[in-house]
Amino acid sequence: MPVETDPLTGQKTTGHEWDGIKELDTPLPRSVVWFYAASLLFAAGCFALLPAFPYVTDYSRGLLDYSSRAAVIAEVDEADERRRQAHSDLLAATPAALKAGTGIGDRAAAVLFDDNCAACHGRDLAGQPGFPDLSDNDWLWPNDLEGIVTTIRYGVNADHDETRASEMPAYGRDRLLAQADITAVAEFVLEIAGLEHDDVLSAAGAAVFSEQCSSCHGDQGRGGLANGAPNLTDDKWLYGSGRDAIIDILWTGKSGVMPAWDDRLDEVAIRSLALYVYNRL
Amino acid sequence: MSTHHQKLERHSIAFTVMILVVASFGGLVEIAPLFTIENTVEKVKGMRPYTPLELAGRDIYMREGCYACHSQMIRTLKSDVDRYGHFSLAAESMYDHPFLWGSKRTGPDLARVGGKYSDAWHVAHLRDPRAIVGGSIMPGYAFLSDRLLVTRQLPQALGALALAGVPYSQEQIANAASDAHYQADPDAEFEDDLAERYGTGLNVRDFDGDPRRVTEMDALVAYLQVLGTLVDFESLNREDLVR
Amino acid sequence: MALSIERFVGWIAIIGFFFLGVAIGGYAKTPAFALHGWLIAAAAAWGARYLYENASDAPDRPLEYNDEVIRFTVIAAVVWATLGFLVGVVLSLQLAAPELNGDMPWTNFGRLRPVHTTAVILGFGGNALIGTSFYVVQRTSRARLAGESLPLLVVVFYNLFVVLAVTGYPLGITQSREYAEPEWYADLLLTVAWLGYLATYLRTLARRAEPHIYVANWYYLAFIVVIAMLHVVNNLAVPVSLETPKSYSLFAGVQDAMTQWWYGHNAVGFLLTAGFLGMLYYFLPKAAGRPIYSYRMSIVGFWGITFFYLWAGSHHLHYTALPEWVQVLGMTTSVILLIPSWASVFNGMFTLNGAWDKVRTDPAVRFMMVAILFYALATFEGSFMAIKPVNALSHYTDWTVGHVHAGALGWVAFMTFGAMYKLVPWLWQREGIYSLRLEAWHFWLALAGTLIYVGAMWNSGITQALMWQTYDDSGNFAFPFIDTVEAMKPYYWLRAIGGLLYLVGAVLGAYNIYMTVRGPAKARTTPAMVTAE
Repeated sequence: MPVETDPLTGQKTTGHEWDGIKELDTPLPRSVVWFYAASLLFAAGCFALLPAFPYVTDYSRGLLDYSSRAAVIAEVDEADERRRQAHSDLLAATPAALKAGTGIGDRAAAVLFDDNCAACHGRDLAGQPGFPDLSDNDWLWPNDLEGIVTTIRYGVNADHDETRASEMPAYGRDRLLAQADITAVAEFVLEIAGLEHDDVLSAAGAAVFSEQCSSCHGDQGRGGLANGAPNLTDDKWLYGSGRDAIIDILWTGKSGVMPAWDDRLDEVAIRSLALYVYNRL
Repeated sequence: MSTHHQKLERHSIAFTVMILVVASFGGLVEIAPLFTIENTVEKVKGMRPYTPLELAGRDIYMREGCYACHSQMIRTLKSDVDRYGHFSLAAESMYDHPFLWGSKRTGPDLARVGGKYSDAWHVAHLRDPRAIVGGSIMPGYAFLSDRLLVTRQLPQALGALALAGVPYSQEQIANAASDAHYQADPDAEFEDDLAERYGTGLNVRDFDGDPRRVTEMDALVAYLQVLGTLVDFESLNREDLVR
Repeated sequence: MALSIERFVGWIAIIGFFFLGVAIGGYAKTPAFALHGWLIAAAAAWGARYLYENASDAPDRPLEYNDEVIRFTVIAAVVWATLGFLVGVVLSLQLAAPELNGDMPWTNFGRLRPVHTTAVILGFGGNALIGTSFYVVQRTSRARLAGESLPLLVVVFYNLFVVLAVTGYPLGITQSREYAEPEWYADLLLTVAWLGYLATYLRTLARRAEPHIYVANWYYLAFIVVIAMLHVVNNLAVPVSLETPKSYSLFAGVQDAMTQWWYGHNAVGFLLTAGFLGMLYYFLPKAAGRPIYSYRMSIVGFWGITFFYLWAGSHHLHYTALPEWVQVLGMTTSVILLIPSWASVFNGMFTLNGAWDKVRTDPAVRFMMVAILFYALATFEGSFMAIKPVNALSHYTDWTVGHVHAGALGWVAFMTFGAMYKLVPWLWQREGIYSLRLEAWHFWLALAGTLIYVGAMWNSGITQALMWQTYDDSGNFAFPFIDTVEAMKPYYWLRAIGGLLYLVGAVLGAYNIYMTVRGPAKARTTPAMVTAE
């Protein structure tokens, strides 16, 4: 195949042809060379300034000795310091004085709540089955500011030495009570909750209750904030109301878990969240 | 240039070899040194291989394609650290065959989800995510609660991992199937056996809220609850992390 | 008759796979794995029969091209494309309306996503590349495809691999390595089929009547060789047993991550880029009737891509636990990579000089021209996103998804459709495509679909990134994570619409190709190779 001249561009062909396809021998445009050079120069600059080349057991550090890790550590530390200073009053306050404070502000606290707490308690704080409602006054644990801070920090039945602990035993599964007693005490609970119940069984259940349940739930079944036992006389039911639900809990027990946030959130965040919840009560 | 190249393009084998050689550099330079440069994987306290139950859960995580929407890699960016916790270390995935760092955050990062929520929440959420978290677009995995965990293959699985370099002992391999059941045992009767083989501080309990049997839900929750919890950051010198 | 090395190796492989299949079928403890075992055994049995029936390699018909196997790949590509796009649309709808997950194991997003990626990349893209490479290497070498039985075996077993892959995911069989999800036994199958592909390709090149190897073949060769290397290294794994399909990758953590993204990025680089540049370098000048603009530019583009692409994978791991030095190498080489990429862009565009009228009159040329434009866009965007501060914003967001689809829909698929509309009439000896009007409709639907898709993902990606990283004045987050999920909703719907348009276009294309194949053949004059003189 002879070298030809392309009439349109005036360029010579390379003299090859494949299935009718020819190539022009157009010289490399200058711009390509320049752009290549520029990009290589950029790379060389990066290599000189930043860590880039591996050796066998080490690597080149570059003139800047830059590291994303060092950068983010410094950045986070600095922000933490600023945050501690900005909220020194919040950190210094006693729980009583805390009430006056605003923490990090309502909007920011709401974001914090949504990212960390809402998965269980809901964005509206209303809770869901198994996860307590924080917007009412029917609490399992103390709902003063100090109490809320403690619960957030150490959790309930959590993997933390200081955690709040409470457990409803599995009376049925672990054979702590006979079947008949469980049936009876369930009727008693229905009665004190003001629900439809069997009077005969309930009377028998009262004795079982005072022997087995009252130490946590109180003689009247009104629960106690000291040990996380729910009030059984109101219409708030964490795990559902009704005979079947009550028997199920008596049978299998319950010990709800709230994780400890001690390691995950800083003091400003914990106190701000406590305020956020407290102000919604 | 083009005359030399014209010679090359007349020889198909030479051309092929040339491609192979030219294309090999990148991988050789970027991958091989990761095995030899000392601080590539940080020296940390607390890392241990997964227990058989956690491993089974990890296999389920992969099987269901969770990695398609969840990353397990907290980057060295302030917004990542602020939202998810301490940036991830290479050491934290040193026993991850394969790695599960992910490439997309349709849902949040899970690198430190361990301990962030209760088991009960994980179970409720996995069963029906969109009912538990308003606005969520996650699919539901209720079927995990209904499936008994198959543990028969676990000794061989640990054996395969041992071949790939995970320091599982013969004893760990031999007991893998029963250890998976022990860890989900509601009464933790075998906690000491597990502690002997895998160290103290394991999560030993019924994870899925159904103490009568060990399900795939038990395994997946056990895996999620250990994510990001192993390294003892208190004992770490932050200077040593910088690289 | 002496057994050729090729047939000997072929027999060994087929017998080996037969026994592997039977062993899996027998030992497997899950129905899915057993099914795969028997599928492999059945395919191997078919392969043995095929080899046996073609025992005496038909006397070489050196004057005729072997196009039968290419017709098979064209049909396979069209089928996989339709399936892959359909699953893509389903996935996009699942993100917009999560109830569509069905909350069943085999219908949930996580298991379906690799069905989409595998069907389009390996099913559609792979078949299109194997088919066109066989077409191009024969024409540009003026030689019949080497081996009378191997090419079809390669293609059938390649497609068996894709079938094993996409049926495995919904049943829970996956390595969870993105774009390399199939388990070890499927990987083994692909390795052997791929070596057969390389052997066929090299032997055909060795027969060539042209002294020089044409540029298109450089790219196809690079595609075959580099994919082989990537596939083998990235899939190194220890299988658990023959009872379960499971295996564990040989490497862990940071080394595993680097290996995977070295693979992942270069599957893009050599399957979705180099392979399709090979296609471009043949079909564009053929369709435009113009010479390649610059041979020297071809050289610069080719070796630049072959060298620099393999360094760029670490940009998928910016700010991760991967050491800083690897991130810097990945960032810088990604920036350099723009130059050889755009060298190919300009070489393609300037080749159209003198043929611009055809962009207007021939939808196939229009497909190819737009493909080049999207290639230009995607490579620029890719280099840009590889710069660390940009990546801090784009990574983990839908921006990446948009970027991938600018490349996959806009470049890869446009290029393939353009080539197919030329190739199908040539392969089946038809006068032309069944309907140019339909072809034009396909073009506009595909273009609209791509633009909507990519536009939606840019918006959602950047919105997502900014919402994740926005702080208020006192340094607290402005948005909880869940808000960023909800903010995506309109974009997810928009993306689904874009994808749907693209699917409708592809269905029109499939119909058009079907009608072309069914249509009347043109009078055949002389054997193809003689006319090529």
